[in-house]
Amino acid sequence: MKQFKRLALSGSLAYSEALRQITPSVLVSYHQSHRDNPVKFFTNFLEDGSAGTVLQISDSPLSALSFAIGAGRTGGRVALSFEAEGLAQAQTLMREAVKLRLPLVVNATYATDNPPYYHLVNQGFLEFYCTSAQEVYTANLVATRLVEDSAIRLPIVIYYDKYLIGSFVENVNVLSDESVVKFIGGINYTTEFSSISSFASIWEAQSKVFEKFTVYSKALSDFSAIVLSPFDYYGDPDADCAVVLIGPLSGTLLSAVDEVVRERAKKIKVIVLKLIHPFPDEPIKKFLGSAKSIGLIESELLPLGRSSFYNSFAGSLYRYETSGNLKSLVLPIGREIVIGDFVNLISKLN
Amino acid sequence: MSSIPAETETSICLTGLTGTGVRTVAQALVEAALLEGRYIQLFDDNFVKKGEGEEVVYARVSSSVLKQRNRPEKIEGGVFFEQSLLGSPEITNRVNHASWVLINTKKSLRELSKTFKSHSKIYVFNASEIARYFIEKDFPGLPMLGGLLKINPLVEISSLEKVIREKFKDRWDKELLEKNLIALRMGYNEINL
Repeated sequence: MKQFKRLALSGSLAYSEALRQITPSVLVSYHQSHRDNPVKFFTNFLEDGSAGTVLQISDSPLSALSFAIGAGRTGGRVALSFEAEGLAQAQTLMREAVKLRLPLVVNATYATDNPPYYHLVNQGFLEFYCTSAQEVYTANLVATRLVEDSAIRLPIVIYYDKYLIGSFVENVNVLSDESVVKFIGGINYTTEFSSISSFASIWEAQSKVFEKFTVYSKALSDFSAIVLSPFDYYGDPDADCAVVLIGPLSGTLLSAVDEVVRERAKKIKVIVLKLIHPFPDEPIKKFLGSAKSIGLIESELLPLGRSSFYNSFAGSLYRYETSGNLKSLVLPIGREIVIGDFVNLISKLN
Repeated sequence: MSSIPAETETSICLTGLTGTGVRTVAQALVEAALLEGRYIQLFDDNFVKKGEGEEVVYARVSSSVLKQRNRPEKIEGGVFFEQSLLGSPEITNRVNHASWVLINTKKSLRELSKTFKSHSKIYVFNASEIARYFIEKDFPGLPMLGGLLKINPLVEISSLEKVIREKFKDRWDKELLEKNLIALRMGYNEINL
């Protein structure tokens, strides 16, 4: 039975709404730009008393993360709102948050041309890339349950594009406050990690992430019909050409694939990756199957030639001895991306 | 039920000066569409060269899920809240091939046609005057929205009224709310098809 109402929300508003319903003990914010700053919307809820969260606005990413780690260590439910560039500056502290096994839920916005999966070296936290405002909302609910699970207890970063999602209004299905409270439950972790966790225990926790993510997503969809998947597949599973993408341009890509399939009778399959750390080796291998030509959609060429996303993906193919030519398909930057851009790139796949 | 036939997508470009309610009325429009069970998108045009304080937004309404996140390839209509924006070729190019253009202006169609040429069908009326008369401010948004719905009944005017009542019930007193709704209807009645 559906238990949601339909609202017209941007990604930033969807995040604010999720925060209002989750009501974290502490919200720490670091945003340099004020346009569509989600925390700006959330302060309306603080003013009218519908959220009882302590808000800390920091002037540097390091101080923001230090505050969050301190709040986390006292046992509070802590949320952070960042810009991805700021998170990049605070990576060493993110590593500490991982070692301390703090269940932080971080939302980070990024510019379309500069997605963090190109250059950010993961320090052990979970990473989820949203493709829509709906996913921003839902991911925050699922992530809150996931990171507080005793088998996981790792921070998660939920990324979303500040233009294509953050300020882009679309349909968002929103649960009632009572449903969210019932789903999230009370704070579910202890502060009994008296010493920094070993890497082995962190790896063990990471190995359980997909399983737990699926469990909580299913629990949410069972009573709300709101679905959140760690990745999306599209197209003919037997196709020889495969395209891989992260981010909200997936909708435009799928329209381009439809056009190519219709007009050129080419078989193509697409995987849209969302939960990318831990890197989903198994599902990728299963999806790719015997694809001979694999295109990785990227937005810019780094000076050194390869993004960390490309390297991770190539490593995954190597680990599983998956055959197939891996090709980087680079989108133009500095202008709007349209269907034709994707059609041109897909045509480069043999 | 709105008169949009099944399986169609309609995109409107709205442009005006920041702070005059362009985004607010566009939001009300898409919320009305949502109320009628449609899929919607509302977003800024970040790639058009705009002057200081100028705003260009797209409202997209469809009976099926909207996948793309780029400027619509086909724009059904353009709404100019501010006549001076007709002098911006970057902005007018966006609605070059639109079926219609609605302009808030003091000028008559004949007068305007001397300086503004377009392949689209042009509708004009003085929305600012209506706004000043009823709500005592130059916020032409609601009269323009009324005019838009007369040209292209994207949503039922009753759905829009419902959204406006809900949205502004805490911000406006009853009298101001009713005046705004009258301004909406006046804009609707101003357009002769």
